[in-house]
Amino acid sequence: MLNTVLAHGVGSRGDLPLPFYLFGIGAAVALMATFVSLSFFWHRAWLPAAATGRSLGMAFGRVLDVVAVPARLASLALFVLALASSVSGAEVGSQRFGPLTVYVALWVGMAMVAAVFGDVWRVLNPFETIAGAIEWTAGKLGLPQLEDTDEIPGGYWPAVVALGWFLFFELCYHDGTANSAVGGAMIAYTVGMVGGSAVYGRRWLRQADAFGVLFSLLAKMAPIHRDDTGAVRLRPPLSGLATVAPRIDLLAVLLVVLGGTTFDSLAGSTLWRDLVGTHRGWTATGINTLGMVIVIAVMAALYYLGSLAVGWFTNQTATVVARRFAHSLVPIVLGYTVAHYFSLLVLDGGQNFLRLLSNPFDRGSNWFGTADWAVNFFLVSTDAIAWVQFSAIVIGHIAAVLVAHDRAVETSDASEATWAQRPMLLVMVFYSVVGLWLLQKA
Amino acid sequence: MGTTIEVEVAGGKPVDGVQRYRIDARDSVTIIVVGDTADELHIHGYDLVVGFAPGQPGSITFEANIPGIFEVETHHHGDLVMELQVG
Repeated sequence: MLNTVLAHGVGSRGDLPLPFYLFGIGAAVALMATFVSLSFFWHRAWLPAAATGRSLGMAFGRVLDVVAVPARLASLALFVLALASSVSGAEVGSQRFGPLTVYVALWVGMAMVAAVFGDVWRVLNPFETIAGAIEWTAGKLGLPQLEDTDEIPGGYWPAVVALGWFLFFELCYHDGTANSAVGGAMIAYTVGMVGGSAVYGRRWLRQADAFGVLFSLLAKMAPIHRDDTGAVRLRPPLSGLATVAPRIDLLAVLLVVLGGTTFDSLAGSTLWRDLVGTHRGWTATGINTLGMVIVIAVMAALYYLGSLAVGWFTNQTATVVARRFAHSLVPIVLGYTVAHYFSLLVLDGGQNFLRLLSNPFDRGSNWFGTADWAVNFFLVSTDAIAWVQFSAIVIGHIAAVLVAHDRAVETSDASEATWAQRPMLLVMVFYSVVGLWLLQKA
Repeated sequence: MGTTIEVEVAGGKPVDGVQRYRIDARDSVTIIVVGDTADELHIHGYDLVVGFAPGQPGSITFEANIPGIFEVETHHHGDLVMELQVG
């Protein structure tokens, strides 16, 4: 059994270091230029109005509803397959299908899908399907149905806890990519999701499913969404972020993911490797957990300080400011996800997932004809990866500045808003420079 | 042409600590491993394995044609021995 200490739980290669000074300076300049120019030409908030978008008509929505049924079943089948593969302990080469499904296809793949195509996870979520099937069966048996409440107590904090647990498992726990660990975690998570739905109704999944909550936030960036009538609507990218509820628990979701991804970057660096030294097993788990908690705390503290300073200019409490601008962190979360996991998705991680999809039990099957694939490490060049990493971080932060400015000019004029937002710009510059610096230390 | 890396392993761990070795892409690399126990060295990404035992150093030569950073571990102990940075 390989006790791998690789940065991202799964995957066998790390990205080459970025040339920091050039990129770091470029990022800082781009951010500040965006910030200053916004005060000149962006005078009123237009994202809230743009977020509704233009309807593509009901027919398109009905087609999607039909397509959703096989998609939902396929997703459930993939979930069962990944779980069964993990429980069976199958290993092809040194690759395992269950961990690849969870850490690559779900965590990285679905996050990117959500940001581009909207809240697809809401349809594909196997826990929705399982809970729905149980509800349907209970109805057939004449058992009392749960009333779906508007909101369960605890807000989105259950999702924050679930996210923390997931990130601990992926990035800190020394055996987090073992089949037994992933299989056990999948069973535990299923019990938590389906059990919670049995008590609180389906609303539980909207508030407790780590993936559901995060992906629905990322989906607010997408240029496509469905309204309450089920109609599919097109809207400018990012505009949906204006509809994110200004809540502390959603802010916590974003900061935990941001901190977790940043820690993953740090953990892949020679700095961290030297710190962990020869410690293995639970000692390594402890060091990594402490590291991740500290990184999350630092990211959160910086955001809070930024909010405090902005509040000082605008006569608001730090909490009010922190809530109001929480949605601007969503593009940064996506940017970091792309920067850190793009190569994993397109190279070894994604390709091994597709390869093992044909042969998840290592019994020589070749269901989809992909079993004999060898990982093509040349699908994208290292130069292309470096540019994707740099662009993702810079564009993510520029989008954040833009979205935050749009919110700020709701209540004050453009130059005043820009003036008051300066502390947040500093936080953004710091985040992006640290993000790029860590990629240089890779 | 070519790079030769020599590493000494005691109890599955590198004696001189974990080092990162830089190699030009497409260069030829030879890794020689000396150890006090019987084990195997696993080169990730390249998926190469080289066995060694007390008094029997292991040696492997390959072309570094996959760019990126790769971990090299002892198979039985599961400890990081070194990193190869190709490119």
